[in-house]
Amino acid sequence: MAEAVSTPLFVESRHRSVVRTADPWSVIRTLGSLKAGVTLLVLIGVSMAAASIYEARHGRVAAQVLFYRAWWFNGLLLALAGNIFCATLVRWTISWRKLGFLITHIGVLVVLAGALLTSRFGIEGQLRLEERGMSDAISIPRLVIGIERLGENAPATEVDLPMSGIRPRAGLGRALSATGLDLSLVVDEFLPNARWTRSFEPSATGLAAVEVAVAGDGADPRMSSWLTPRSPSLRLGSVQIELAGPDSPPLPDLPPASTSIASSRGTLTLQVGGSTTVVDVTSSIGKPVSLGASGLSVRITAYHADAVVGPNRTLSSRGDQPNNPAIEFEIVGPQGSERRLAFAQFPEFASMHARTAVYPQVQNAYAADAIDRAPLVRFVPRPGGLEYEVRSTDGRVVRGPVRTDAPIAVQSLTLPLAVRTYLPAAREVFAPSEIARGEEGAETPATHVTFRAGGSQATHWLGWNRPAVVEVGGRSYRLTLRNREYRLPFSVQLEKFERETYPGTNQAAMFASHVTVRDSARSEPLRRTIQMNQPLRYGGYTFFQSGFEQRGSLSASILTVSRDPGKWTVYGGFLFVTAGVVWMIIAKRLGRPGGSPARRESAT
Amino acid sequence: MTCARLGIIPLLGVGALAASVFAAPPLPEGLDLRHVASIAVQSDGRTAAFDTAARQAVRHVCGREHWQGHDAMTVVLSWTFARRDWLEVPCIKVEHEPLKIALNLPVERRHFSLRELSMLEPLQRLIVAADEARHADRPLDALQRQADDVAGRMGALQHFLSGGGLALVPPAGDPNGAYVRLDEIQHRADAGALHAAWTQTGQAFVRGDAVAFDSASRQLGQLLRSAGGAAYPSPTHLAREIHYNRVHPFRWAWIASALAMVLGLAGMYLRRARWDALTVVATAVGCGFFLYGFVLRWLIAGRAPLSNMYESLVMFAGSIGLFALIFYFVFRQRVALTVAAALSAAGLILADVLPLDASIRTLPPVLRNTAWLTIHVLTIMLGYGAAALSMGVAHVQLGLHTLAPQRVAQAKEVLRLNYWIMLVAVIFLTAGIVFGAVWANASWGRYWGWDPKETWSLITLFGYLGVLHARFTGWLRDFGVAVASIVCFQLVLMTYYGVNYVLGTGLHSYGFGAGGLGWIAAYLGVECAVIFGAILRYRAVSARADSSARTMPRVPALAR
Repeated sequence: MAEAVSTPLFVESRHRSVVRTADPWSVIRTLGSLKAGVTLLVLIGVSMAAASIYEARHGRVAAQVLFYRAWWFNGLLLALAGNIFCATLVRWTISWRKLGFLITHIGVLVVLAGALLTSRFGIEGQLRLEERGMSDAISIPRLVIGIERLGENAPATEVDLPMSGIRPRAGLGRALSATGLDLSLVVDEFLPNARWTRSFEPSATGLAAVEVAVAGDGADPRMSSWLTPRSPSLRLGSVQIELAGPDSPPLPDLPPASTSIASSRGTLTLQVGGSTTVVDVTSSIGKPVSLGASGLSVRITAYHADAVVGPNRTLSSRGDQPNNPAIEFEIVGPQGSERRLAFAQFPEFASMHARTAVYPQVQNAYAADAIDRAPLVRFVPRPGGLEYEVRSTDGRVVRGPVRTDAPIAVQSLTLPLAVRTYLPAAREVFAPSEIARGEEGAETPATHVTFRAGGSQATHWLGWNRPAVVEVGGRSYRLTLRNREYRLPFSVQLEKFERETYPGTNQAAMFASHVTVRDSARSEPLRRTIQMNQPLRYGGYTFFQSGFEQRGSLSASILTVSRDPGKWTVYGGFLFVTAGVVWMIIAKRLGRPGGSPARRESAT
Repeated sequence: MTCARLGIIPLLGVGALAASVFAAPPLPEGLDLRHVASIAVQSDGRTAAFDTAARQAVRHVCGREHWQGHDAMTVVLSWTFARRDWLEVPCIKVEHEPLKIALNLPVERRHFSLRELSMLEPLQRLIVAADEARHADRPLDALQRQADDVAGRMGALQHFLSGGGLALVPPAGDPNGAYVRLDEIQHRADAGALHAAWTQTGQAFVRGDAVAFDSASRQLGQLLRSAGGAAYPSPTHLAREIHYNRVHPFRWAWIASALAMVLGLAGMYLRRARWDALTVVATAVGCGFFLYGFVLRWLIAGRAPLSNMYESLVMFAGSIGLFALIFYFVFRQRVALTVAAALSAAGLILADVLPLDASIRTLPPVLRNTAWLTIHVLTIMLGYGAAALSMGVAHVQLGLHTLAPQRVAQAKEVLRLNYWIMLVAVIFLTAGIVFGAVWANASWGRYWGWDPKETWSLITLFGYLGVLHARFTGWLRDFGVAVASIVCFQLVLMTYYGVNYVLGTGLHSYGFGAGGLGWIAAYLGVECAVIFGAILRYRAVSARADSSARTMPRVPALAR
């Protein structure tokens, strides 16, 4: 029963008798076997599924590099083509019944051949044109490193990145040479999605750099900050963290909370009309003071040395240190009393938060000495090593030598600080790191490259469209990681970009680019309009409206440009496939009554 | 904080008291709304009949095309002419239960009044959070999405209650200009007459005066038509749209299909030829309604109705019935008919029930002015329809193999049918990919770009090709083909639905909404269980058959 069911539809018996001794046919039959074909179909299907899932997570560029443009994927497609070719050869019989099979499978081969032509000789890229701007440069989505020797007026040389295959790192380390320049380069590292961060590395000369992080359980190990003489301070909550110069004197203790400071609570100055009244806060708390001839009086109701604002504009004090002196007072007069707040350090608070004033004619100003007792952490590079100084809110200073990653306790921080790195002399490095898709800055690749020329070498990180100048072998080069550039033999100018919307809405109904083609081979410039589904064909290239950018009043149109020598081959293949399948159905249905496998099996 | 919360409670108390004081909104019955229905209104860039715009607005706010038995136009007119009376009327749909719990709203109520909702501080906070998330391009969480939805409903009602109304005055002069609302035309010469007719219509509506309403609305319609000139939609066109709204052809299509399914099952059970004829007739009637609706919608929209999830799902479901009829007449297999009727009804019910946007919309530029949209999507949907039919027939085959293993001949017949349906699916899927490639080349400049939708359509095709070829290698036998065709249909679902909703990337994302993932996941789970169970059962059945074959002479097996 099993044998009966599994008998192939395409009977191979004719060759079978011949082939027993003839080896080439048996190889071809194996290559063109149905089992190989089905296996390839499943393998390619699974690869494509994996690729699309990978693309959803890691982006288009990564999927293209890892799957669709990889040698192994194209190898699978090629193997399928080989399988179909061999199968066609093995089953080559011209008969009405087999014609459908032949045409269909030859059609698939033609499609694949056309696709090969497209991928080998076709050009597909984007042309970005600003309004009134002209360009002949198409950006083709293949990563290259553009190399220009500075001081020469030569066009940039492009070197393809060697990334391909299931492991993008496989191409790393291979030496590449730039044509026309005696320079060789090696790509050491490739990050498809990179984020650029500032860090420091040791160097012979340079300034000190300290990497500070929060230590202890629950701290994010990735979070750290660099202190350098150029950006010497940062704030963590209420704590000030600083990098001091090597010659700075030791941080002095602040006098302990003294009565002399606390005793003076400052003065409140009030102005009504032309007259000014100065009220001493310490002596007049709770006592009404009249404001000249205005008929109004003022009464200070409360003083807060270290004020915090609570709900409903209530004030309270965190302590008796005058870190943030504030007073509450009321102005009393015929229209009732008005409550006001005044801060010595934030004179604008009242105007920002005041409700409607009852006595808008009264201006007030509160002055009091405040001392900054905010906790301070200072790192000082001494000849013997880095030293820390921590001054807490009580004014006392604790100091000691910094050991890498050893916690430094700071009062009013729940977690201790630690110095992760200390470099007495450092060089700033702007380097990328790999990030997951979806984070900010994703989908711009970066690569680390070593250059060799004239016996010397240099290394550099290259970011997407970030030109870097590298000196090697006594000459300067400008290097850019970018898309391959292709120059059209003519220029295209965007006269005007038009965007129409559906009436009464902001939904786009139509995009149109009015362009002029300027070709030295033509005497007259050619004016045309490109719209969605209405491309411009010129000189073997086709220009499609693909997108637009709008920044303020400046608009830019993005055209897709393609030249595709394989297109008609592919279309021919499509025609073959369609005709063949239809033929197969007709032959199966009409050629043999009841010609389905089920019927045939029961007949055999 | 505490104060604020305390503040709300007395206000709500006042609101509840006030509700009884306020007059119930006028919703007069027995008015002739003919003249109002065929007033042209512009919404979302499309010129539609007032009837359509009213249904859209009422569906948006209340969740259905009518409210407490009053039709959409009456409700919209009442919103427009009796604005104050609607503040307290619970007509805004809030369905999401977690949201109601989070907002401390009674779960059993489905509709709430504008005043009630606008005084809910936590709702406002959620709406603000959703807004911020959208501006920052962050995904919204479930509550924020639902709150945002409610905000949209509130906004739509507020628009009417604040005197906004519909844009029904055609532009003067410019035929491509935007329609405006009545309060925006002070400078125009015809403003006075229009306002007078509008006010009279409103007064007659509020009074419920049928005679006055009839003459005033007729007057208004005529004034608007003459203001619009030649560019104003023709009465036939508007009447067609109103007819489509009233008839709901796709709803009748699923009712007829469901009936066909019942008849088909009854016919199988009773084994009477007469029932088969009835099944054929019911399926044909379902297909007729589908085609009628399809053509109507095409005429109304001025383009093939194949541009969004709703339209393609209707086409998908409708094509299953069409194929079933064809296959019935070729193979005389009523199984296909019953299965197709069930699938077609299920698809059309889903299109009707799921929160898909069923209104006719304008097209994005890339889909406009091209015949490829029609050709490509139509072919693909026919392919999906055939694939679904194959999946359904495969279930029948599974049932025969596992539950009635003695009915070998019948299983073979069903397999043969399934095989042919798969061939047809392959033809349409291939043609769909080919047409898609040609269109992609015509509008994007490349015929193939490994876009996820393209990739998955090729995976699907490879799946079916794999099944058809694997059959000849002996890797798949009768039972295997049935299982494989069910698996291949899951690939179709991934291409049709998963690429947009699960992968969420690519260029093919026109007019898609959100949701339905739960349904698909449930279907997938059931399907996995069915296949797993069938395999287990089939193994047991085959083992029994083998052991009995060993004890029996081999002759009968060979004879078969």
